[in-house]
Amino acid sequence: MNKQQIIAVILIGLGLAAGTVLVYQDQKSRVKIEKREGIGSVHFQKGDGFDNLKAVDLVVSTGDPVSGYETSISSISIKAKIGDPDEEFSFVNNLSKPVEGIVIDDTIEKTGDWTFPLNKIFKKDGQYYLEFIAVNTAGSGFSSLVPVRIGTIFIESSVVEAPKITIVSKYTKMMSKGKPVIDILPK
Amino acid sequence: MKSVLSKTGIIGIVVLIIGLLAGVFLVQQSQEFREKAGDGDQQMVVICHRLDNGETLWEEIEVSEGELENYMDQGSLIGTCPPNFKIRSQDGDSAENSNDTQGGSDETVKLSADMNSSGRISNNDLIQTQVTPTPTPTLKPTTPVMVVKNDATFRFFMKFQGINAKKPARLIEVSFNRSGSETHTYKNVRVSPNSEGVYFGQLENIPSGVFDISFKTESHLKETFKDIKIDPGINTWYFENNPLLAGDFNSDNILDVTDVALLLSEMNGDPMHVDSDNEKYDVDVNARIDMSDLELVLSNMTSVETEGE
Repeated sequence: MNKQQIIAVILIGLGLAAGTVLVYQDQKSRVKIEKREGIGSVHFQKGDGFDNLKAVDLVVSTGDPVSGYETSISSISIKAKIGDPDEEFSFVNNLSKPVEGIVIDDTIEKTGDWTFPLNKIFKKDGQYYLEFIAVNTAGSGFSSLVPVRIGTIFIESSVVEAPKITIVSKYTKMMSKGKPVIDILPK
Repeated sequence: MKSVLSKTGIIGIVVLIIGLLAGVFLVQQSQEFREKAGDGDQQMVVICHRLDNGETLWEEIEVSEGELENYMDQGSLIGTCPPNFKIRSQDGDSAENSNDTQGGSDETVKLSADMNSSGRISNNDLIQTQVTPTPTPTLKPTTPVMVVKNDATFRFFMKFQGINAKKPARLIEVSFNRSGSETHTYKNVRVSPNSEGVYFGQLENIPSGVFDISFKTESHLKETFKDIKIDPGINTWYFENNPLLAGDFNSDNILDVTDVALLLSEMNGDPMHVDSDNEKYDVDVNARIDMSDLELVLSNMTSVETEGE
């Protein structure tokens, strides 16, 4: 075997090794992407109301506090039923002025990273619905391991408890920021 | 010996550098030629040109896309001249246009739009050229015979949301529906815009009848126009008052947060350069994927799912 042949063999060996490393890295990132599915969370929880003003907070998280894994998101869409059919509510802000949507949290508003192209509460066939879309325009998106309050639904009611809010899962999505774009809410 | 070799080596390096520079120069030149060729790659369009000679005379000529706007400003019409227009013959005399689309019978022409004094047809008017042959006695066939003639030409003007200036031509899908089911679809129909972003397209040799006609692109929701009557001959319709809405990036004819996320995956803070892989996200076709594209898409989100028509 002459000198040139030895160099050729070494080059082929190096190429093979580089190929193996690249394939392994690709495999690793695929596993990581698969992990993101089901990691997001959207829910409504009792907020700080007072007197006749009931408050229900919309909170989201984009990671798993146990494993410490979190992922960035770009947008959220939510459809939810408010109360039962034929129940009557008055939706207001924290100053008791009538509103037709969620009152966005001050902290979220001040970041300047969020925009809300759709935020409406409406009644259809006797049932109140919320339709809400939040879009994060930051270059890296939004991520949080702990639940973050996006906004609050304030309801004027003399009833002791706030109405139940049921998420319509078909229309409720939390979309990842990076490619591939996937819905990270549990199915 | 050593010094000779090193001298050769130096010459070799110099030759290599010269070769490299020459290569770069040649590639740049080639690129320039391509760009120039692209500029000249304009399609010719047949127009019915209005001659300004006191009486309204018309002439069928071919002009390039670049010249089209000037001719339109002079009151010319896109396409061949409708029947009964006075056409200037080749020796300079005028004659009534006798485009015979029905086989020689007398024809009447209905124009359902007003022409202004310049002879230009207003964009907002609905214009349809309809040829009605004089009935002639016919023998009844003993068995029913159905003949489908592809004898119509469909010319249309349309707009895309967010585009109000001249941009490159684009490809769209045009589908014809009757009673809720698709009868025929034309893919990759080329439409070219004028300086106001009104796109013109044409389909030839299509069947006549009454259809719901839909337009769709890979980044717009489907827009359907109901009960469009296509007669034998030339039919011109104006749809630019209902621009196609942007944002259906996954082509499911539904605009939702998935489409928004697809657009945002192309935005990483700074405006993104457009290439053939991501050009569909450049909604306003300004060669950047940026907030203006996002704002256009978000303005269409009137529900968690907005469906195309």
